Amino acid sequence: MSGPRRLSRPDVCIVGLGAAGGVAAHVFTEAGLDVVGLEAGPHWTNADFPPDELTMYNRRNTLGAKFNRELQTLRDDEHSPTRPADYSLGMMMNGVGGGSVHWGAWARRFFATDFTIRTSTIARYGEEAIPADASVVDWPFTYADLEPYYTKAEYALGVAGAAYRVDGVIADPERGNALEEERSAPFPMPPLRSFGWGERFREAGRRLGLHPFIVPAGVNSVPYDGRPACTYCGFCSGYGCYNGAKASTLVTTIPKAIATGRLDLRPYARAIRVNTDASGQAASVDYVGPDGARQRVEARVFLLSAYSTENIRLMFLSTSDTFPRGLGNNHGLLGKYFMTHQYIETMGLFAEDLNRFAGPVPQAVALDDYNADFFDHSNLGFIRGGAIGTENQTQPIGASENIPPTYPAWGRDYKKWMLANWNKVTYLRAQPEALAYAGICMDLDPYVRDTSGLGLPVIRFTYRQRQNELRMIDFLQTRMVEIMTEMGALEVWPGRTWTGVGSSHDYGGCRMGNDSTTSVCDSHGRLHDTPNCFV
Amino acid sequence: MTPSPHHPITRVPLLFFTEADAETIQAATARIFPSDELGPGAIEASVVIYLDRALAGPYAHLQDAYRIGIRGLDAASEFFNKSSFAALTEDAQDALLTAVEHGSLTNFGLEPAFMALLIRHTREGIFCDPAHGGNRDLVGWKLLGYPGVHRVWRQDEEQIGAVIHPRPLTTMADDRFGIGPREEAGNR
Repeated sequence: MSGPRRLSRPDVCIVGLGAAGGVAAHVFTEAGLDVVGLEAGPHWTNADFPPDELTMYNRRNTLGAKFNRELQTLRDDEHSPTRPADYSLGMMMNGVGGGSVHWGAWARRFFATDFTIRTSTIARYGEEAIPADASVVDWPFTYADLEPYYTKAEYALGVAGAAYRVDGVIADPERGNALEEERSAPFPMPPLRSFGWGERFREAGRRLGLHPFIVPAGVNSVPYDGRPACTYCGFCSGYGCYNGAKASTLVTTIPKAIATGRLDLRPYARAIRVNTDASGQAASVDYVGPDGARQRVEARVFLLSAYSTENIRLMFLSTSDTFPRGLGNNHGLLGKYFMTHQYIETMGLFAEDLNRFAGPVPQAVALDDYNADFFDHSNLGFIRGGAIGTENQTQPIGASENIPPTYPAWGRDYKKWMLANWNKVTYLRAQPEALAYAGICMDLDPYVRDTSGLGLPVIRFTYRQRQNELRMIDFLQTRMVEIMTEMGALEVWPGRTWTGVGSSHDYGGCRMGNDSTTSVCDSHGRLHDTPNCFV
Repeated sequence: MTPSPHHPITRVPLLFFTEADAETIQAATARIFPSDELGPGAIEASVVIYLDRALAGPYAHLQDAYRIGIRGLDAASEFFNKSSFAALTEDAQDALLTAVEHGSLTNFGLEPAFMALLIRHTREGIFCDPAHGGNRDLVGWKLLGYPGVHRVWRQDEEQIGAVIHPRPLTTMADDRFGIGPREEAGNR
């Protein structure tokens, strides 16, 4: 690995060395381009990730020291009071590798109808099926366009999985996903090993006539690309991997980019503004370095690959005479059509010990029978759906919190129930898809500023769940109760509902499209207003 | 009812609580996770030391919530029973904490959110890695039968109803891990 090299005028400046920027840094440097990578957080090593339930991502978010000082705000609609955002899925972190450091490593692909959502929905159910307040549009490319890149990414990062079909030929019908789209190549590694609870799910799913499968995982099931195989320690989702067996860009593409000698990686470099020239092109990025001094990087091309909400914030903050409302916002669309990942749980109590501490989240199993448009929505009052699945991995503090709502949360009765049952309780979890709505958006909070020392405005979300999502959640909760019962649960109850904003699962706000009056960027992520700047 | 046995605080230097604060918190967390015939509780796990360390560091942003909560518990005890919270009977302590949980003592600054915080932190103090000051002598993990932190699990151990192979009850320190190096006071 060559030493750090200071580039004065690189070809490309990347803001944010996470899941996207970390891959791009490798692609660009491999193609011979000089790259400066600005990362607001530290450059971790694997030794920075102890198997500690209290720290890391989940409870104290020690990976998110920067974000913890830049907390966002939330309001139901423009007439409602503003309150702190709820972060139901946990907060964001900062560091080289980004969220790919602590992800649960479900390495899935979208479905064909995800890209043609408007056309497909209208063809099957008519235009009136689309909720009047939603803004449902097709993507400017299709699954087929993207397929070769999915394959490339699976090999670059290292994905362990079982393919149901490869190039139209049935490969692994027992473990693969019968509903997945065509794939041109098998996974680079066999799936992670099966576990008792997951097999119970797959058996019950098959008895119900559904199509359960082993979820592809961004974790090494065997040694791959110079990194070791997973040892199933069980400290995975919410943690960095101290072995380097989990596929973060920190241990895959970024070291390769550094090895080219063409990546000047600058940790603790907090981008605060994109400067543009008179022609509307991006000219430079201003950032605050680790010593607090303000610095500037000039480049030919810029890639904004910070977290979704931080990208939008940076663009709003980059106002100029040419772009008085912020970069990419000449049609007032920046921050619009924000979406957040929703999760709902059904909990179950079983007669036997489940031993879910003996393996990681990416040993997941799921089914897509109630996802996308794989079921008839005719009389359901909503469109689209969500995957239902379950996972390995539990830790003692988290287990001590899994108490049915009808039981006491403290005292002798709590202690008695919890000690008897902590290893016999677990969840099924659904991931209901959220539609895009013009009224659900991000902007800069006019009153609240961060406490980072820079005093920049924080992101304000305007978000409230809509009828389509509420009905979908009801439907999926019922399906999960059916599956949990088939699995033999002694007792079933609704678990947590995670629908909050500002977590590590936010998306949207920078719509892609071919028409510059209805979208912020084109199908390559190039800003319509500023063509040498990509998101 | 039996009066609450007086449990002296372990004599280690406190970083955030006063001695009196620590008595109050120890008494409250001992009702949340009591020591009883099923085994040790919050006192044996040294939850109060866990909380003292946390509030002096990563939970510094919650110091005011604790100051208000402790003052409220003692003021309410004084008002109803002419006693500090720690000197109440267990029965009276339970009644008071139940009232906090139900939002009936907000006049004393005791919000239900404080009770939720205390429950959350009591669980953390009992079941965390002992590197954080709680789960002393691994009493929390032993109560559960949690086998500890292990780098390697075998496939026959992650089956439903499987018996875990005999192995030492190990912590992060046993496996040469420290607490993450970058822990600092946050705004959470």
